[in-house]
Amino acid sequence: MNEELETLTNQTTFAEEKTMFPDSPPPVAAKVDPNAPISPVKDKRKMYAIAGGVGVLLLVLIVVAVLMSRRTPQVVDNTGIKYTPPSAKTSELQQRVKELQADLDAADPAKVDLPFPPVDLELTLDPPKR
Amino acid sequence: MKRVNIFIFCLAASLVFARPVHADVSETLATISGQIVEDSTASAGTIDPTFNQQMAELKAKYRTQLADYREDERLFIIAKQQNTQIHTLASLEEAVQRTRNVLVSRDQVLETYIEMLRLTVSNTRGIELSQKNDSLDNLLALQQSLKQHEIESESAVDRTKIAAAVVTFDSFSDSLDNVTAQAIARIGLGNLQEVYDKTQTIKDEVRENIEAKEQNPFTLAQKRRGFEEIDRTLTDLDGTLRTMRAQLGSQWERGGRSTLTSFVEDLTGVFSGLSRSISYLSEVLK
Repeated sequence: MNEELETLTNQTTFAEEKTMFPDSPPPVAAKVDPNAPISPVKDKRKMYAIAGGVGVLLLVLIVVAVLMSRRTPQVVDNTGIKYTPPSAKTSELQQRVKELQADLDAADPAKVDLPFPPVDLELTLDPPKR
Repeated sequence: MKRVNIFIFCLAASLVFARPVHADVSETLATISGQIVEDSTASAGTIDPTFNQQMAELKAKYRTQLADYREDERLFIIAKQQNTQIHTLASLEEAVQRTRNVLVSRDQVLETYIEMLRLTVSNTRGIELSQKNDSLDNLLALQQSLKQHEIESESAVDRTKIAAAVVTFDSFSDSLDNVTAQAIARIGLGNLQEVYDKTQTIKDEVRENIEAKEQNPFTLAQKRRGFEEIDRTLTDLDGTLRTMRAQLGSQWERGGRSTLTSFVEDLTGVFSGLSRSISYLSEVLK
């Protein structure tokens, strides 16, 4: 009676559980003790897993930081447009080319800075003698 | 405790790596700001540092003299018409006096104008030395002629002396036309020659910079082709500049201002070529 009651209340075993083959031994139900303490081996594994995770995270952070430091920085100007700042030498050359363009604009032959004065070169009181 | 240590290490690492990036950006922004300041104070290169001031003074003097000349010319025209119409001694006297005044004020305008030309020729780097000296001598000779004519005109109190002063002016008016036109042409060519020389220098530096820094072989090949094009344009311009310089080597005999007009048209071609070369240079620098 007691055995039958245990079978009915145990949720982890089938009520009609029986062996598949007559010769094989009957299955043994796993017995778990809910009050048993957690073993210190399992606690250590958990610690290793957390430390490993933090280590990987740290490695990723370092790699990202190294990549960021090597990458040419981008600058956002007042207009919000991103651009890559050129090297100092390139900037200097760009500046000189800009000055060259200004020199060329100043040398435009169409803009004569000193036109001949608007004066009459044939002023005379008497009409010229032919 | 260990977790706290790890967090501190991460924070320190990110700060160490982040700092140079911010420093670079700050430096770049500082460089750009400096360039803007330099831009605003940049001036065209001249030999004499007081050139701009001297030129401003001469221009102010020229404007005043030109205004005086216009007023004198207006009064001269009125007096001459009156003398033609009424034929009185008084009208003749008035006409002689007005003619004298306008001759003197014209000489003064021309003297100041020639002084401005001399100053500009002297301060234009691109003019060949022999041509520069030639123009300076010719302009000085003209200034002296004008000064003498001014003295002659001031003392012309009658009709005969006025007529003599007019004849004196006619004797060098062709020279006035040719010498001033040739000086303007030499200034124009000199300015472009100077820009051409600077373009050659900067082009070589840009090429060196790109050859040293460009790591992408495709971009490098592309930029080398760009330089070949710039070299071709500059070689053509060099030939044109030499030919034009030769044209300015000898004295312009007649029709100074009309010769100048066609010369300026040729200069415009050189200007366009230089503009193209500089535009190519800024393109390869991008």
